[in-house]
Amino acid sequence: MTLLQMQKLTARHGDFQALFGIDAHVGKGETVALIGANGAGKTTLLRAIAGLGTREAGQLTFAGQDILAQDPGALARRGIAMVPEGRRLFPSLTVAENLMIGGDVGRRGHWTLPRVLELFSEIAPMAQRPAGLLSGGQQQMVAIGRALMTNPELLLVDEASLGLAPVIVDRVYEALSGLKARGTTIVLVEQDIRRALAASDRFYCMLGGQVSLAGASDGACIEQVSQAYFGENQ
Amino acid sequence: MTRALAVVIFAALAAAPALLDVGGLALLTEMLVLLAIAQSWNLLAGYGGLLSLGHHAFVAAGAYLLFAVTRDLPVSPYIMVPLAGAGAALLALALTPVLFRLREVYFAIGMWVAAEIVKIAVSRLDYFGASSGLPLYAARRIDTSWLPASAHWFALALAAGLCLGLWRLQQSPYGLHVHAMRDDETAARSLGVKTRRIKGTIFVLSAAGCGMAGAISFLGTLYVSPVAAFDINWTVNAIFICVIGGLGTIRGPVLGALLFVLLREGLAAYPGWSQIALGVIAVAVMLMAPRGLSGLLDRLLPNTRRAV
Repeated sequence: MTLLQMQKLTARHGDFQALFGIDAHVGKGETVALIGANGAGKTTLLRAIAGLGTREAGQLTFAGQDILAQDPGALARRGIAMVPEGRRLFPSLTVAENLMIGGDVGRRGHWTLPRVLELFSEIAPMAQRPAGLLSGGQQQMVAIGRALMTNPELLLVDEASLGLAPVIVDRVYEALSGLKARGTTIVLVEQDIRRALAASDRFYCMLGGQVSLAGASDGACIEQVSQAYFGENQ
Repeated sequence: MTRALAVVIFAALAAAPALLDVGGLALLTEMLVLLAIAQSWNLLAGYGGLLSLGHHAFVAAGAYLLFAVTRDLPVSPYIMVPLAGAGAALLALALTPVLFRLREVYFAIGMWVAAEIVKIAVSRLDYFGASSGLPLYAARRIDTSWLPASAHWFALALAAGLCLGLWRLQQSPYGLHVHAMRDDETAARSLGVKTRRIKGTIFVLSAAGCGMAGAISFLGTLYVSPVAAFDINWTVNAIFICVIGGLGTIRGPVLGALLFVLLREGLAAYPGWSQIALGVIAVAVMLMAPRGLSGLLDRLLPNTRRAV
């Protein structure tokens, strides 16, 4: 069953058009990777889905309903949550308060504060510390936990591995894998092609605001994906 | 302990009209008015992250509303104090469609420009006494011997109410949303925090606090003029009080207002020097204790951290 559907979606990043007619879909329970170089339009697409970007035209449906004109708050309440690039925690609030904000405004469901702290046991002892004082890896866990507290059906994860040590990235992807096993649909943006393919069921490779290649992640030809990633002239 | 101390201080301040002479009471009332304006500004800037350089417009709006309405209608000026706050809130509401398109420093300057426009309009309208201003015509209908005490009690109620309101805000889930918006508006929006509504609400409440403070302040002077009511020092002093006391805390503006009045009165014999001293202290605090006197207290008494 298709949970998220985009047809000829165009969007702007500031004054510039960043997406040129994206056709893509995400099935319920799937993990879909968006891969591509810097400036390919991955984050703009993720922000457009979350209602944070300037969506211009085309079709964008979630669970069969048009969400093109909906604001991020309405989308969060409908079950779309985003883990933004750079974590973007609320540094003056404690870890627990960061998480509770997600719980306050989101939907009721499996994810509660104790369950999130159980999933990321590393951050449980730091629940009362200001989030701004945590390490990058711990902050990433809080950012994912904060999104989970909204009990999303669709989790959008932007550059989860950015600036993190490989061992921490493994831990973050292990947690994402656990979420997938629970049936959460995930769209993740990742620059590391191998990691993105390993963590996903399908992928869309983006180049210049368009989809340059799409397919199943399992058995995808790395060379072919790399060519789509950098463009044919590279 | 803190609660008991607050009750004792409130009771002592409430008894001030019976204990102080006219000059002492006027000074205390002025400090409470300054505290009310500073806490209102603090709500917007310290809690909401929206810096305004034009809050004197709301001080003036409250004052003018009280003077104009009590001139035209047989309404007690005391009843007009809360209504003056409502009037200032309406002015803020009217400004939001334009000002909320601006961000950060542009919002701050936009507020300043808005205040200047309102000032020019009021200075030219005969209804508001044009550049001469208005006397409190309603003074004929009340026993003015009670005016200093009444103004003091109003100022005390407003300042205490704002402190209590901020304390309640800090304890509530809504307060978390306000803090989240201040820290990262986009991230807060993506989680479903209604940032536009929060910004609008705290802007309007902040204006209402200033409007009531303006009404109380000019009620005591029996006269309002554009020069006095639209004096940018209302805003500058509020900023100073919040910065030296500690932005985004409740006790910060309390400490700041106390220090501000003490310094000004202590240096009153040296005209001009008080302003220089206040400026030097503000710069020193910003460099050495960016979280103000409240931050210094946190360091000295770590157990009280984030309590107030």
